[in-house]
Amino acid sequence: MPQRIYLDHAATGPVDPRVFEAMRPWLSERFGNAAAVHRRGQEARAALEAARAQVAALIGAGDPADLIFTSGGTEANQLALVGLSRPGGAVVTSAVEHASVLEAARALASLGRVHRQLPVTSLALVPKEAVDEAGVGPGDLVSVMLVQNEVGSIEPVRAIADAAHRRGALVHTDAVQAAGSWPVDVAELGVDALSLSAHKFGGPQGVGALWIRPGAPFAPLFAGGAHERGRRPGTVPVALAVGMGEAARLARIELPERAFRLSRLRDRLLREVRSRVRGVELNGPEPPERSPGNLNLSFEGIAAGILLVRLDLEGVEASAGAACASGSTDVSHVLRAMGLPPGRAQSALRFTVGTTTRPRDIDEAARRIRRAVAGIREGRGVAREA
Amino acid sequence: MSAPRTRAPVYLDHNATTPVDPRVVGAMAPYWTERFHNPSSPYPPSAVVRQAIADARAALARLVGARPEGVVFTGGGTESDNWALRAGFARGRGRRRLVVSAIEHPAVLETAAALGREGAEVVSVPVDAHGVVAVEALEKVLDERVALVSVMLASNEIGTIQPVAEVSRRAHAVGALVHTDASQAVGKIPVDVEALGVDLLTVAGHKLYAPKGVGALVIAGDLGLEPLLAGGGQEGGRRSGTENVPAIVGLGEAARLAGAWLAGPGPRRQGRLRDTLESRLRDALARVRVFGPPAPRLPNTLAIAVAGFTGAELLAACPEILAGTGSACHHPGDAGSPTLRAMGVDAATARGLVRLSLGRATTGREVGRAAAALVAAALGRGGTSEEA
Ligand SMILES: Cc1ncc(COP(=O)(O)O)c(C=O)c1O
Ligand SMILES: Cc1ncc(COP(=O)(O)O)c(C=O)c1O
Repeated sequence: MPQRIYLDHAATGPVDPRVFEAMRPWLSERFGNAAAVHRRGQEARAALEAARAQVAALIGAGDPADLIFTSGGTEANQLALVGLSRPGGAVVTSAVEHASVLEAARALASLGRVHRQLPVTSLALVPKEAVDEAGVGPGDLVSVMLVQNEVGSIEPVRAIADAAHRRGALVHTDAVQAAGSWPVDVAELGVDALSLSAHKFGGPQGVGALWIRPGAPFAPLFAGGAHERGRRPGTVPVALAVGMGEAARLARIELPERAFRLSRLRDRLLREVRSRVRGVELNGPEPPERSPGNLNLSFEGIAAGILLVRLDLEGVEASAGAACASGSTDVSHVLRAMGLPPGRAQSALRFTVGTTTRPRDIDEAARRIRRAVAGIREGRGVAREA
Repeated sequence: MSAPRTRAPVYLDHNATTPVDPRVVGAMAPYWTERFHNPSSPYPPSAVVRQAIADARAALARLVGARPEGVVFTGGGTESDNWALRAGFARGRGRRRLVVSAIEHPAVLETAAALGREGAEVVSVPVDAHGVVAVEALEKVLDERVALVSVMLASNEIGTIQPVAEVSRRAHAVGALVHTDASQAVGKIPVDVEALGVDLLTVAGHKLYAPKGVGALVIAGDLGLEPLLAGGGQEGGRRSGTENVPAIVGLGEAARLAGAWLAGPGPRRQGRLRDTLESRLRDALARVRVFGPPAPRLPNTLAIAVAGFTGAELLAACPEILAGTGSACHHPGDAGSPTLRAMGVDAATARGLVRLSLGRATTGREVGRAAAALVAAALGRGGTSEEA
């Protein structure tokens, strides 16, 4: 059987071996509870704080204490939306946010808060004027992601934050898909809160972080202890946090090289597929104005689900939109918000490269994609004649 | 006392957290590397990961006598408690009363307090002098206004086992739901959801040799709880967020190991070691108090106070022991251990709580060393203040 090619790094990726090495001792020999006062607790505490500083450095946060560890990106988003929105204020999200932001906003709406959505362009970009046009006001919370997970668009978070702040609102950004391949700097972005998830940048699953600007009025979601300065009770998973810290350290050092490498691989895949397969359209912005690892392609006349099955037989692993929605056959809310024609939306697949992708994987993947598409198109031709 | 320490300290803080069992680390490792795939993805390696999660779910379900469909993996005990209380209370619809025991973990007590600020009527049920929930007192506050009753299965501070089956019977009689925080019980004593009769049960992975950052809420019936974390719809829509696959696999393996340990001579041996520690302290120290007996206790937990010492002072005087002064999550400043206070213990004594909690690997030698160290520390200073 030919080697399988993994092109779904936006869904998750393997833990970097260096990260795994860093984590391992904190599972077994050095297993202390960071809240315990004895030496084992103290060494765990010190490791936890070192990890916090590493994650803070990745996003340019001056004070690591402004970062709280969470169980992942979903929880970070939930904490941000629940913790920073206010009873009288509206929750304003883009129409292309991850389900964890949209569901949190919907849950708040069911409690009586107003949820408004900012529209996007056909490239999934939130227009800079959207904040003004939506009538954002004091006490509102605006949440717009930095990198879109399905089509890789880079949202104008700075401009949105400035506009929202002029109107007295708070601003959160979901940077889960950005960290590790796109610069993330809380000061440059000008936001009040920012979410991260470790498994999207070489760290382990089950750990994420929320940065909250000092002084931002934050109300915790969970109750039950003084962990994370009372903002996120629960025993902190030290090993996972250490893994996230190491992944953040590596991501910071290696960012320019990774971004360069990923975009070269991505560009190569786009070029190869375009040259081998007809009827291919790129959804989302044309590179380089897009997340380095992301491609989202529509194959004219082919249902995404059928192509996925065919690609699987060819040993290419890709996805139709977000991983968590892959059981669903509906067109993604992202492609719908972009206003893509139904046929194009229904034939869209996401290919995302990552740090373990090699150039020869790309060439081979392009060949296999060509074969899969041709197989389906020829098969359809046969069916027609029959 | 100033002799250089040549041996590793004796870790007697397993109620705060346990090391991950090496076999659990072994089971988890591939899921950080080759088998890293997102379980929600459409290609075959993800099906392998989904199967691993299903196996873990079945293993944990078996350990606690639940249906696999009833096991929802979470980020830990605190999240499970928060979810159980919020969603369990909300399911009571018109019912506004929430009943908790006085000795619950802060994850329960503070969530209850938060619900209280949001309009719930929170009633705290007292415990007796041995740290056991007073069922007659519970009976008095049970009526059709009660949405949810939450009583822990075993106390984290003193290890007493609570009459949860009795609580369930009485709470169900008035149509209330029942939650038990079994964080400290699972893996230490047999736990059976059906025998307990509870609707919701909290599991915290790192208390049973699984990693930190994973837990579960076990749901006995078809309750249709509102999720606490919404989003991608993982865990059957009940708990969103990319699954912490390695940790879930680890919790499954830990559940298997716990089942085997509970079926073997381990718990008895552990109980004997704990009793040895207890009697050595009682024999040598006239001023030691042991909390819990004659109430049934976890076999690994010994809660003591030595008159004249705060818990922190006593532990500071025996650096060869790593133990806690109660829950790792709150340092009982001046008020002393909340559990002991709820038992009617005076503040001075309650400040003296030292919780010694043994692990599966704790040896007789370690227990001997710990006893000797505690006795030396207590006599070293206590002798002078005894007559004062
Ligand atoms: C943009 C975005 N936000 C949030 C999340 C949720 O992160 P997690 O799965 O770690 O909870 C994801 C990925 O699943 C994502 O792509
Ligand atoms: C009884 C009890 N409940 C809940 C918890 C909290 O669990 P976690 O630390 O996994 O959040 C703990 C331990 O800290 C506990 O002892």
